[in-house]
Amino acid sequence: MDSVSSGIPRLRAERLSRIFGQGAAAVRALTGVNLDIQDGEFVAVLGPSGAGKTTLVRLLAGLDTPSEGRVLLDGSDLGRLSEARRARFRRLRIGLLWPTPHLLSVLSVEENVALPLLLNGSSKAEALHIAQGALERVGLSAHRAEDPAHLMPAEAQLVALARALAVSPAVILADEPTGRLDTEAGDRLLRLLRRARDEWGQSVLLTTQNIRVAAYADRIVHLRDGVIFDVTPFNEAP
Amino acid sequence: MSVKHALLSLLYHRPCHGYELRERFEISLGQHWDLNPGQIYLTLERLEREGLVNHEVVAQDTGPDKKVYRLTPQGEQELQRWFTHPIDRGERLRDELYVKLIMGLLTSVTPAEEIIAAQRQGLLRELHRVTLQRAQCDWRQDTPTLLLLDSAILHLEADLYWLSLYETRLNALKAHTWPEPHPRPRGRPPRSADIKQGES
Repeated sequence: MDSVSSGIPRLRAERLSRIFGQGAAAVRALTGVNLDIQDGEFVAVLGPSGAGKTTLVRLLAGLDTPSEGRVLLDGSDLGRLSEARRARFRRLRIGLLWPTPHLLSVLSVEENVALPLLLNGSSKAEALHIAQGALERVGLSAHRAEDPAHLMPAEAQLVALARALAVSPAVILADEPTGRLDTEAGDRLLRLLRRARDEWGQSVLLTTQNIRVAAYADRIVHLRDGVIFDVTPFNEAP
Repeated sequence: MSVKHALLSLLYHRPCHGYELRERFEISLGQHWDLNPGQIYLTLERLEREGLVNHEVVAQDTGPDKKVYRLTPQGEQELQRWFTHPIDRGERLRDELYVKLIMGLLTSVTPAEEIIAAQRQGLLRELHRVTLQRAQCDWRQDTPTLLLLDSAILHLEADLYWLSLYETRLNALKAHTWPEPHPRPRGRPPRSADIKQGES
């Protein structure tokens, strides 16, 4: 479904809460979060460690189930899908990026990037062709045959971005993707996320503790103690 | 920003006229300064009064005569002094944002939280604008612009972090008691002769 023509946000969090544990030991990680990400919008969730950023990303990706509320991707309630359908939905529609790249060292760089496409049913030739294109976008095609263990940390994170881009997802969810990179490598990654929004049609949600990283977005959502306490919109929003 | 010293620097290697100076100013310092031609001519006039530059009128085959400015020995000395003395950042202790926040507390015209929120939004907007400008900059070609934008980003970041500090310490600030100014002594101060008389 095209969310532009339908007016439905790409991704919507409705009254999202997540409580870990029970009774006296219960910890509220997220409380009543409402958040819409429009098609082609780049949103940054800014908050200190422990604010609930990773919990939010896991819920939005359908990797975790909310205690209250729901997540809608292109209008579909992730909670109503079976585990198998949700996983397939995620692989097709969501590109995920974590603080560390999680590359498989038994595969080459391009095979890592091609892996989600193979899981989605592409032929090996087609998957490798698309993977090469994705590696080219992040400027790493020269490394495609390498063992990922030989990459610099910044390069490995760009391979992870290529892997997320390869499936042409509707949304890229990036949880502190620059947290372990130096400023220059972080800037390189952020410029690519900006291109994903500007040129490749992706919506992006990024979490960070760093104001400078958040400034790349169209809108900053300020999260503290599991609650959105402020929003800073910029004029770049579509 | 010292337009004065930028102009002295541009005149260091060779004399030039006002229009050329403006062009060279833009080429070396980028398009980021909002410097109008009038400002250049006014600064040149001031530099001439101070004896740091002088000019000669050069007749043109076509068009009006041109004033060509050159650095005087005093101008060279001033430039040397400027380069070798650190910039005085004393104005940081008279920071407008600090003044606004403290006066906001003293007057209570607007709640401190509202002032903070408005400032934060403004600083974040500026940071966003400069960040996107930096992202579009060609990193291999345009090192001067990159350096200028980095400076702007670092200062904005510092202001934002400082604003958070202010927010964290807001309750302590609200509880702070500002001492009353000393009452002004009346009449003229006593002369030493008066004191002596009083003693006798």
